[in-house]
Amino acid sequence: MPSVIDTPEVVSAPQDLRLKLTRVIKAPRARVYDAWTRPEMIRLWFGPEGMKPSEVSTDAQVDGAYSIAMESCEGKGASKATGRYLQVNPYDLLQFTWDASWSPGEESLVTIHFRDMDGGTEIKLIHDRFSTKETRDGHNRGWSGILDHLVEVLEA
Amino acid sequence: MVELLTSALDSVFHALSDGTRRAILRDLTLEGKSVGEIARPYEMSLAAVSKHVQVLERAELVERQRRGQFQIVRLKPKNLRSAQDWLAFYDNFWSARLDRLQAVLETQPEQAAAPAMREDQDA
Repeated sequence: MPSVIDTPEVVSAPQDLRLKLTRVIKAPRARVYDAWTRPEMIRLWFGPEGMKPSEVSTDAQVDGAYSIAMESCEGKGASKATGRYLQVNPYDLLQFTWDASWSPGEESLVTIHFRDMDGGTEIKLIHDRFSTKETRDGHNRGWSGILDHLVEVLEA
Repeated sequence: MVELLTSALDSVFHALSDGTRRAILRDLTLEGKSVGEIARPYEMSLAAVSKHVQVLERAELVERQRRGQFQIVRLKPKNLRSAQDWLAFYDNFWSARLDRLQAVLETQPEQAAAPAMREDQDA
């Protein structure tokens, strides 16, 4: 049992349980968006230090799947991120579920907002967890509702 | 990489998704309190506060200890640390990738140009 003394430091952070990162990139919005959705562009940057994407596939439409397999440059380790797109608004918003091979069974949610800024594009990335099962089910209902509607329209 | 117990972490994030529960945790930072003491600053019933404490307890963020005739609620920081680890891990993870994305898009415009040209490439 940790002592009481180390608790204040621990409690100071969780006022907000989503990870938020903002970045301005000097490139047109469509290109920044494409860098997140097109496999040949994802390959250029998604590999962190010492890792490179080996196989990337994206079906950037609502309920479409993506998969990014990464392997270490020395060929020692491999990892994979997979998920489904929940919201796909070209050049404005991208939202997808996130399931990484290093934490099996844990599904979280990544939302990216793209916005024009002076001389570039602002990316706001939010990564959070499904805080409740209801949220996750709500998303499921969201997709299936959209798909049902699509089927209705196409089959009418 | 992170190795966390997914179900435990889910309950931690759920517990921490509520402002009142986060405030309760902050109140417990310095010392354990009874449910009555915890409830004092809030305009809600003891039962409502007790429910919040139960959610925190299920997530193992707090524990109850008997002290004489009272039950004292105390902070249990281990799982809180797991949640922080999760956030810290992804902070590093995405920061590194955004660095690289920025480098690719800002320094290799030709190579990074998408093959399919679009008309609405407004700046």
